[in-house]
Amino acid sequence: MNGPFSLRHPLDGAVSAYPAVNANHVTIYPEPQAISVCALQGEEAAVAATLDALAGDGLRRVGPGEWLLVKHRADSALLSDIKAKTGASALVTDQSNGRVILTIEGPDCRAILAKIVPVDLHPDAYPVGHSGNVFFAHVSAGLARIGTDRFEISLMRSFALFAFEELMEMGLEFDLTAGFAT
Amino acid sequence: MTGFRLTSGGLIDRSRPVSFSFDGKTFKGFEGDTLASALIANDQLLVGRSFKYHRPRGVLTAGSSEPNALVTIGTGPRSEPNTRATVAELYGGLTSRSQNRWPSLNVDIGSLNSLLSPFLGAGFYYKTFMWPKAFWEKVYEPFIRMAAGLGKLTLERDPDRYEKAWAHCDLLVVGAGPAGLAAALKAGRAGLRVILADEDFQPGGSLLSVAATIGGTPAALYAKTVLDELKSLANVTLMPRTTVFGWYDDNVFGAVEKVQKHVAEPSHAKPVERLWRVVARHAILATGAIERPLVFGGNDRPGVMTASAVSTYLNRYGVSPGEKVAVFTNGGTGYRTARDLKAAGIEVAAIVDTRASATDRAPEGVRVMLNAAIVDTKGGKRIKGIVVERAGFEEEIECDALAVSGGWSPVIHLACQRGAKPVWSDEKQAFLAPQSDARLTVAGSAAGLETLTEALADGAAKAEAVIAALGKTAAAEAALAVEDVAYSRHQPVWYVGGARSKAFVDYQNDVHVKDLALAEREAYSSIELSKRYTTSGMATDQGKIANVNATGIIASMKGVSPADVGTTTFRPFYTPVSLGTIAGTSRDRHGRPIRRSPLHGWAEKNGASFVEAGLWYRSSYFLKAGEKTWREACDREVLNVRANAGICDVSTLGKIEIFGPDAAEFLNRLYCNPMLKLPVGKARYGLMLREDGMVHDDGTLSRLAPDHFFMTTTTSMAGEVLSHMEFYHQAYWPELKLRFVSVSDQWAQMSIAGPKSRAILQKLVDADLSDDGFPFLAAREVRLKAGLSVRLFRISFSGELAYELAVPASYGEAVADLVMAEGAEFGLQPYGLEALNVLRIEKGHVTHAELNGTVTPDDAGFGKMMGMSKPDFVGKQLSSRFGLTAADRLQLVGLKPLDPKNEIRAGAHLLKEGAEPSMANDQGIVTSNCFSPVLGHPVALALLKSGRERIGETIIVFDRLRGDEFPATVCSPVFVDPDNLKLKGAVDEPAAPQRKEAAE
Repeated sequence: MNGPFSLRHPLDGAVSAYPAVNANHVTIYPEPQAISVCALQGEEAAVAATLDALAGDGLRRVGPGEWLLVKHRADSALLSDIKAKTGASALVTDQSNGRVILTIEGPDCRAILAKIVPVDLHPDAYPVGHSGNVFFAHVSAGLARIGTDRFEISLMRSFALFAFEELMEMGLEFDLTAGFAT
Repeated sequence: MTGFRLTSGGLIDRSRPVSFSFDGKTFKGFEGDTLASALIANDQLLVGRSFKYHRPRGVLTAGSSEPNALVTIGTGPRSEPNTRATVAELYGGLTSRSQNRWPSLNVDIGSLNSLLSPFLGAGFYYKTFMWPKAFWEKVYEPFIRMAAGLGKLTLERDPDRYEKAWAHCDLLVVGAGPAGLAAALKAGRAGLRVILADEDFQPGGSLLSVAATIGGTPAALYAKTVLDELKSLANVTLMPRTTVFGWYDDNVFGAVEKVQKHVAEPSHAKPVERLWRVVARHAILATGAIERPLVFGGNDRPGVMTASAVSTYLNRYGVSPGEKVAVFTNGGTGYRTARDLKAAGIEVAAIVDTRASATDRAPEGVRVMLNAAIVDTKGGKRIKGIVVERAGFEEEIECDALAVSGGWSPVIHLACQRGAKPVWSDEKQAFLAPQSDARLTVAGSAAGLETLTEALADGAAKAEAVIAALGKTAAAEAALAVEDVAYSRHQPVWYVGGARSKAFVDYQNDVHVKDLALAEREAYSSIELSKRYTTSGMATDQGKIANVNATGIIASMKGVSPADVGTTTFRPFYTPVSLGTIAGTSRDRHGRPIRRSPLHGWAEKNGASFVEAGLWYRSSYFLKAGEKTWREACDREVLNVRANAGICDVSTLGKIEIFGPDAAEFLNRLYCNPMLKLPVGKARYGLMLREDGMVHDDGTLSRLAPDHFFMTTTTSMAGEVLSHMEFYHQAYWPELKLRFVSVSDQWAQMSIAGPKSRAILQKLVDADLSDDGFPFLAAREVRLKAGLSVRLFRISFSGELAYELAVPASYGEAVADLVMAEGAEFGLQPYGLEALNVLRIEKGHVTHAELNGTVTPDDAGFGKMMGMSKPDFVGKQLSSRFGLTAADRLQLVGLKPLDPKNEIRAGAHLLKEGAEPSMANDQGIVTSNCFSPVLGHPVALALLKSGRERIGETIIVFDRLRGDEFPATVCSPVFVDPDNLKLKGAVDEPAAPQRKEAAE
C-alpha cells in the first residue's frame, strides 16, 4: 500500500560487523509497529481497558495515561482499530517510523544493560512485563522486560545509530552480536 | 642489612614467580605481591625522591595511604605516573620507574634543593609573588616548575577502553576486612542484595596481616572461608579491586574497579577500569583505620615504615624490610609488630616507647626503652641507626629498618564527604564520623573500635540493624572466639621534641614541623589556611598520613584540643581516579549523542557536507564538480532556488501533535498571535513568548481537524518548546482537556522551494496544487501518485513559491530520490543549511540569531501579529510594560555596505557617523550576514535602536576585534521580493507574515 518506495532503516549497514548469532544477541525489527496513545483527562481508565483488549503483550506504559504499543512486525490494522475504538478520548499517533525497536537477549543482557541504563533491572525491581522510560546511553529510550533474560528497547530513530553503537560497545566483553529479524 | 623474602609464610603464591622491572633492573616476585612488597623483598628500599627537597624516600605503608612510593608503571601510551607501589598488584612483565629524579634515583641533582631548604619553607611560593616583581617570570616560576614535581604524563593516546556501569543493592559494604566481612555475611545470609567492595585485589583487610585466630582458624584462612560462602550466595556480589571513592546524593556511591590493571596486555574486549555508580539503600562503611607515623627528626629515611606496614609485609607477603628492626611507638600495637618480627625470626633492635609505663608485653629478650624518644636517624639512602634520647641521655642504636606506630586514624573519608564534620573523641584520641544520614553507618575500626573481636561483632550488629530496617530477619549466630593478644591504647604524642633533623608531617609534599610553626607565626594557623599555606594534606594522598598529625601538632602549638582545631574538608575522590575512568566511553564519536535525519543517507549520496547543529548532523552544502569552496556551492544553490527549484532537508524541525477539545484554546494562549480560529487545512506562522514578553520560539501551526493540530518548532528549541507546553498544561491550565506528543522522529520533512516547485510536485502528488486547489498556507494530507499518504504544507522560508512535504521517516529517502528524479527536468537541485540561511536573510526572515531572548515580537517586526484583544496569552501581561514599548528599542533592519567590497559581519556593533566607539554610543548589533548572490553584494540583518525610523541613514559598522569600521546604509530587512509577488496566491492571509522552513 506504500507503493514502490523502499524502506530505509537507520541501522541499515550497522550490523554487518556481527555475522554470527551468539548467546547474547540483539535482534532489530525492520518494520515494527509503534503507536503512541495519550488518553485525555478523565478517559484514562476507559482507554486503558480498550488498549488491554487490543494490544496483547505489546502495551508499554510511558507516563500517566500514556502508552506506547509495540508490535515487532507491522500491523497497520491495529492503528486504525485503536483510532476507531478510542475515538475522541485519546491522541493516537503512529510512531512506527519514529522508533527503532530491538530486543536484547542472553545470559549477560542484564550486565550489558547495567552499563547503559541507570535503573535497577533485578527481577524483583523490574519484573517481566515491566516497562519504563529510561536514560539509555545519554538518550531517552523505552525499556520493557519481555523475558527473564530478554528486554525490548525502543529508541528514537534519530538517536538509534548512536545508541545502538553504544550498546554493542558495552556488549563487547560478552561477545554480543546483532542482526535484523528475518 | 637487607630487605629480604622470608623462607616461608605469607599469602603469596610461591609456586608462581613473576619477573618485573624497576628503573631498568629486572627483579623477581610472586603472584600475590604488590610492587612494593616485591621491591622490599629485593632490598630496593629506596623507591623515590620527594617532591620539593628531592630527599630519598622509601615505602612507608602497605596500603592506599602511601605518600612516598609513587612510581610510573607501564611504558609508552600505557605509562601511568604517580601509581602507589603499595597497591599496585604485581604481574609478569610489569615495568616501573622511579620519579622526580635526574639523572638517576641514586644520584639526583635535584637533591641540591635540600641546600636551599631555608628558602623553600611554608608559603615560599606565595612569597615569590611579592618581590622582586620581575623575578617571578624569569627566575621563580621556571625554577619551581623544573624542581617540583611528580611523574610525567605521556602525551600519547590512551589505547585502552574505559566503561561506566550502574549497580543496585540493599546494602553496600565498603571494605572487606573483619567488620566488612561480618556485615556482608550477616546480610547475605539474611537474603539482602549485598555488594561487598574492597580496594585490594585480595579481600580480607587486616585479617590478611594479623597473627590472630578466629574460631581456632588463622585469620587469613577465616577470611577465605567467609569469602567462599559469600561467593556461593547469588544475592551477594563481591567486588575486589574496587575503590569506593565518593558518597553522593540519594545514597549513590562512586567506585572505580581496576578490571585489567594487573595484566601486561589488556584485552580490548574489556575495559581497563570501570566506573561504578552504586545505588544503595543502605551502606556500611568498614574502611578500617590508618596507622599514623610519629613525627620525629629524620622520620623520612628509607627503611622507616609504619609498624602495621611492617606486620603486613611480614605476615601477608612473607617479606622483611630488614634484619634488625627497631620499633618506635606510643601505644600497644607497636608491640604487636615486635612480636610479628620475633615470630618471623627477625631481630628486634629495641622497642622505643614514649610512655612512662606500659602494660604491653615485649617479646622475650627484646629491650624496651620507656620514656624514650628518637630524635634522629642515621644513614643516607636507607636507615642505619637511630638516636634515642632518654632524660637527656643519648644513645645510638644500630638497625636497618624502623617500625613506627603513632596511633590509629579511622578512615571516615566517605562519611564526611557530604558536609558532615568529623568529631574528635578524647576517649579514642581520634576523629570519628558523626551519624549524618541513617542510610550510612560506620563499623569496626573505622568507627574507632580497636580489637578484632569488637570489629567482627560490630560489623554483624550494624548489618542486623540494616536487615531489621528492611523488614527482614537475621539468623541468630553465636560469635566466634577470637584469640588475639590485647594491646593498650596509644598515648598521644603529636610531635617528638628535640628533633635533630627535619621531622616530616606530610611526606608527599615535604611539609615538616617547622613549616607548620611558620604558618602559626605568620597567622595562617586555622587548619584550612595552614593546609594551603604549608600544602600539608594537599598532595595526591590528600593527607591520609599527614592530616591528623597536622591537626594534633597545630593543636599542641596553640595549647588547645584537636577538637578545637578540627580537620580540613573531605571531598571525593578518596584516592586518585584516572581521567580515562571518568570519561568512560565518552570520547571521540561517543563523546555526545549524534542525531541523524532520516534523509541523512539521501544527503550523503548527493555529496552533502555536514555541519553539527546541536546534536544534529545537518547537510550544509552540496559541492558539485568544479566547485572548490562552500561559497561557490551555496551561491549556486541559492540562485537555483530563485530561478528553478531546490530541495532541502528540514526533518530536524521539532514536530508536535496536539489533540483534544481544548487544544485550540490551549494553543491560542500559548502563541501571542490568534490561533483559535485557524481554519482546518491551513497553516499559520506563530510566535511563542516567554512570560517576560520576549520571543521564546517561532514556528508553524497547522490544523488537521477541529481538535487536532500539528506544530513545528525550530530545530534548536524542539525540546524546550515541549517542556514549555508541559509546564503550562500541567501547572497553569490542567483543566484544559488535551494531550500532545512529539512526533519529531516519525516524519522526514523536505522543503521544495522555487518557482518550479509546483510543477515538480504536481507530477508526484495526487491532488490539485493550483492556487485554488492548494493555496498559500494550505496544509493537509495528500497521497503520492506512487501510493503513500503524506502531509503537504504550502509554506515558505525562502520567499519563493514553496512546499514542505512530510513523509513517514522510513520512506523519506525513497521519496526524496523520487522528487529528485522527477525534478531533474526542472533543474531541481539539493540545497543545504548555508543556502537556506542566505535565502532567509535575503527575505528578511528571522532565526534565533535575531530572536536571541532579548527581542520582542515588535522588535522583530511582528508587532501587529500580537493578539492583544485575546483575554490572555503567555507574555501578554509583561509585553505592555514600559521598557518593552520604549521607542528606542532595538528593531530589526537590513544593512547594505556602501562599498560592496565590505563584508558586514555578525557580531559587529553599530555607531552613528562621527561617534566615538563606547557603550553609551552603541546603536545596535549585526545579527546575521551573508553574501547575497541575487544582489551581488554582502547584506546583513541587524538590531538597531529605533531602527524602523532610520531607513536610509548611513551608519558605521564597527568591529574592533576583526578590524572592521566602514559605513553602511540602513534598509528594509526584506532585500528580495518585498511585495511577496513570488509567493503568489498569498491572498487569503495577506497580513500574516510568511513562514519559515527551518532555523539553525
